[in-house]
Parts: sequence; structure tokens; C-alpha cells
Amino acid sequence: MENRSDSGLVRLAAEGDVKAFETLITRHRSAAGAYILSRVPNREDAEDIAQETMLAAWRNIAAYNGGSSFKTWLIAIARRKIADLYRSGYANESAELDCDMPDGDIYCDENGLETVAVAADLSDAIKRLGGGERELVFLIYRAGFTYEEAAEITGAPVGTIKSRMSAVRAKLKKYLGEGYNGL
Amino acid sequence: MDYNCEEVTELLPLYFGGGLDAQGRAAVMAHLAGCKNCRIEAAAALKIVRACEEAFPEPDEAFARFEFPESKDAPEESTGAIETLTQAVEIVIDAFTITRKAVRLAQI
Repeated sequence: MENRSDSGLVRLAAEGDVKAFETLITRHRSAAGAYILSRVPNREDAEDIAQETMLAAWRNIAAYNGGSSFKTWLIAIARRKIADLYRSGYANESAELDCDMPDGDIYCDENGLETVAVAADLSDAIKRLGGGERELVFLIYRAGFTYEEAAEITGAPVGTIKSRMSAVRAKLKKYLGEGYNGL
Repeated sequence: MDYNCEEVTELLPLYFGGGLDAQGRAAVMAHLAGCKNCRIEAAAALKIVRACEEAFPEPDEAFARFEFPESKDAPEESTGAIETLTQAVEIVIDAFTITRKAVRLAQI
């Protein structure tokens, strides 16, 4: 079972094969889990979102048409579950506010307020990015999605993804080495 | 396959994250060999990929163990011959899908 491709496992899972679905989930649980934890700070809430995501994937597996990768589809489900959580007035909603500032030293604090802060290092600077930018950095640099896949997950045009990534690199440039000016 | 600087910049996270096939990696490397700006961009991309491993750590084993809400019976085991044929068909389908994606990427 472990040697099967995602598409093969999806076909089996759509016929009710529990082991096939479990293999799929095991294969992509790390990326989906890291995504959910990056956006839902409370561990218990993140666990709930993860369970809801996988349950929704199981119940809708027959509707998955293979137009995108299974990982893309799974993350998109997780994203919708998280959006539902925040729409319901989730207490940690401020963590999702997006500070779209060009200056690399200005970040959002935990209340979503712009603050001048010196990040300890690059990973710290990434963690301090606004919610939308941090999500994009995760999708592109951590989860390995293409710009097109990130556009599909977020619902933003590919051109927007490109310009936002360029802005993020500009924001992080002081940590990116001598001579870096960014493209 | 020749990439321009904008295309290489987009592909660098995949390049360092292991998401490119051999042809894609070779094309990126060929571009980097002749482009100093992109080599600087590549060094930056590698730093971001590494920093993301720390900023977005792997969830621990206990996180998100999925439990089915109702029991499902496993399907009957298929014969070895059917299993092999099914896998062969899947390989062909996946190869077609990968080729289609590569063509789309080359057209960017």
C-alpha cells in the first residue's frame, strides 16, 4: 500500500478502502499538521481542526477529481476549516491580522498592532510576519507548493502570490545575506 | 528547458525542498551557473527554507491521529496479477500527469 501513488490510493479510498485513506493521511499528515499549527496557536483547537479536516477529506474523497495534488486539496480543506473557526469569533483571531508593511523592522505583535521589533534571527522574523504573509511563506518554502498551487489554496491570483512573495523577501532581506537586494 | 530569472526565483524553494524532478533541477543549476543575481537569490532561498524548518516545526507523533467516526470493512484482497496490473496503470497515469505539469511549467 505504501508504494502506491496518491492517485491510486485516492481511487481505493473512494471505494471505501480505509487502509488506503490512512496511508494517504499518514503521507500528508505532517504538512497538513504543520500548516494547521502555524495558523491555530492553541494546541487543542489545532487538533480539532486537524480531525475536522481529515474527516471532511474522508467524507468527500469521492468528489476529489485529481485536478490538483491530494496535498493541495487537503490543505485547502484545512484552510476552509480554519476560516470557519475565525469567522465564529475565535479568541485568537488577532494572530491572523496581516500587517502589510514594506519596512522589514515593523511587524505585527500578538495584538495585531504594528510594532518596531528586532527579530532574533530569520526564523523569528518569519514567525513575526503577518498572518497572510506567514501562510504564504509556509506554503512556498515549508510545504513546497508551487505559486500556482498556493494560488489555488488561498484563492488569490498567481500574480498576487508573486508580488506578495517579492514583498516578503524584501521584508526579510536584512537576514538574507550580504548583497541581497531581492527580485 | 531554459528558465529566466523570474522562473528560477519561483522554483528555488522547490529546488531546495526536493520538489523538482531531475530535469527541473538540471535546468535551475544551469541557470545559476551563469547568473550571479540568481545565485544570491538562491542563497537567500536556502536560508528561508532552513529557517522555515525551525519556524514551522514538524508536528509531534501524537498530533492529529485520525480516528474514523464509524468502522469500515476493508475490501477483499485482490489477486496478485490484478494488483500488479493496477499498479502499472497507475504508473502510466501518473507519468502522463507529471508530463502535463512539466509542459505547463515550461510554458510559464
